[in-house]
Amino acid sequence: MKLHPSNGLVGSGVVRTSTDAEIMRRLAGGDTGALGELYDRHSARVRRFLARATADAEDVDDLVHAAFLEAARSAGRYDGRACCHPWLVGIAAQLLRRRRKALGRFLGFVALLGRSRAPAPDPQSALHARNDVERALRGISEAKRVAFLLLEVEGLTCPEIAAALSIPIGTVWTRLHAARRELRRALEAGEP
Amino acid sequence: MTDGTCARLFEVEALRDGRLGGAERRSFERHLRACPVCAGEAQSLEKLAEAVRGDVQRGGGLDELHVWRERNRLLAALDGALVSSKWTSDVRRLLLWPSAVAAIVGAIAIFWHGRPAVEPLRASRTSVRADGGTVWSKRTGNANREEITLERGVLRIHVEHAWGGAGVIVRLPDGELEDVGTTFSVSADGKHTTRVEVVEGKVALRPYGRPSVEIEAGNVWLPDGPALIPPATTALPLPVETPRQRERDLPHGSARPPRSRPAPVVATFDPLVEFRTASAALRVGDNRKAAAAFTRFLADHADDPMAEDAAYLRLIALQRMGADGDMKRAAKAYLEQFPSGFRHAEVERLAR
Repeated sequence: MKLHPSNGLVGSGVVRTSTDAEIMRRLAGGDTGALGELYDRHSARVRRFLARATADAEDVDDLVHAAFLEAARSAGRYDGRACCHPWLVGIAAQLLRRRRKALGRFLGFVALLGRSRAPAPDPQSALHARNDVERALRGISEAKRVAFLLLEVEGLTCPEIAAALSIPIGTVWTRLHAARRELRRALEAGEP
Repeated sequence: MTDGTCARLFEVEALRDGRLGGAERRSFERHLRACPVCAGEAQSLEKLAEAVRGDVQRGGGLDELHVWRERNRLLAALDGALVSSKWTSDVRRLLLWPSAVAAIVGAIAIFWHGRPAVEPLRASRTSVRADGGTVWSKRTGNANREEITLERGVLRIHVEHAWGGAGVIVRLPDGELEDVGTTFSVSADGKHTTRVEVVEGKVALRPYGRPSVEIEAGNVWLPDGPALIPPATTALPLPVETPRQRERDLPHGSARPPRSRPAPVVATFDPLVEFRTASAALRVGDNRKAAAAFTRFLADHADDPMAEDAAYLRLIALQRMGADGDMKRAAKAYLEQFPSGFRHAEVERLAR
C-alpha cells in the first residue's frame, strides 16, 4: 500500500516546495502542518542516527518524536541555515545525552539500593548486530559513538558537536580519537 | 592501520577533526602528499568512516505504514500539546481575575484583623499625693500626656511607666518638669520651684530661661543648683509590687482622667509612693526621715502587702539612728503584727 499524505512528501515522489528555513519560519508562526513537512523531509535520517547511536534501542521512535516536538518548540530560535538536518541531529544528540544521564542516575540508584555495582552494557546488543561494523559500533560507549556518528556520518563539525552535546571541544576530540581507536581494534579483531 | 612511523602521524587525525588551521594545515597537507605513512593513515581513517556511513545508509529502512503512523502520532502529540497549552492558558486566564480579587480581599482582611485595635495612646498611670495647702491641678494634654500644674506646695508623684503611656509634665511657676522616671517630689512657693527630689528614676527640670537639668534618683535639686546627695552604700531591697497592689492601683473603667478638666485638688493616697519615698530616704541615709515615713506608712496602710516590709525597714532605720529603745519597741510591734513574718527570726534577735 502506498500512502500519500496531503502534502505529498512521503514516498519516492517527494516534491520540495519550500526550503528548511521557510518550513521553520512557518512552524515558528504556529503552522502545525509545517511539522509534518519537516518530519517527512528529515525523520528518516534522524531516526537512523538515533538508532545507530542507541544501538537500536526500543525507544528510538519516542526519541524521534521528542526531537521533532522539541524542534517545533524551538523553531523560533532556528538560525536560518538552508538545511536544518545538523540542527535536528544536534537536538537529537542533546536528548540522547539527557536520556543517558537519567538512565545512569537510575541505574546508579538501583545499584545503591541493591548494594551492587551498576549493570554493565548488555552483551546481547552486540550479538544482534547485522555485521562487523555495526558490532564494532555497538561495542563502544554511547558517548564516543555519538561523537563519531555526528562527525563522520551526520557531517557536523567538532565545534557544532561540542555545542550540541554541551561539552568542551577538547572532549569531542578525545572521544573521537578513542572511538576510532576502539573501532579499528574491533574491526581488526573481527577480520578472518 | 598503516605500517611504519612518522613523527607527524598524529596530525592526520587532527586535520580530519579540523584541529589544524592556517599555516599548520597547509604545511601538513604538503607533508601528506609526500609521506606515505601519513597518507596511508588518512586513507585508513576515511575507510573507517565510509564503512560506518555505508552501514548506516544500508540499515534502518522502515515501511511506509510505520512512517505514516509515526507521523500521525507526532502531529497528534503536537496538537495535544497546543490544545493543552491553550487550555492551560485559558484556565489560567479564567482563574486569574478571581484569584487576584480573592488575594486582594484576603490581604485587606489580614490587614484589618492583623493591625492593632485603634485606641488612643493611654496616659501614664500617675499617682499624686499633695501636702496640705498645695495648690495644683491635673489635666490630660496633647497625645494624652498628663499635665500637672503646681502653683505652690509639695507634690509627691509616682508615674508607672510600665503601663505603657506617655510621660508626665509638671508645669511649675518658673518652668516645667518632665518625668522620665518614676517617683519624685516637687515643691513650689507660688513663684519659684523650691525643691525637686527624685526617689526613683529620673526627671528633667526645665526652668524658664535656664538650661535644663536632669535629676537622677537619690538627687535633690534646690534653686541654687543641683545638690547631689550620695546614694546609700547598702541599697535596701525595694518592695516588689504585688499583683493585688497593681490591680488596686489600676484605674477603673476607661482609666483615663477627664480630658482637659482640672482635677479636684485632693491629695491622692498612694501607699506605693509613700513606701518608695520612705525607702529612698533610707537609701540616702536620711534614717530619721525614713523611720518617720515608715511609721506613717504603717499607720495609714496597716493591711497593705508592703506593711511587713515597712515594719522591718523602720527597724533598720531606727537601728541606724542608734535609737535602740525605739528599735526594740518597733521589733516587738513587728513580731506582734506579723507573727509568721518573713523576717521573724531576725527581728526576734533585734527585739532582745
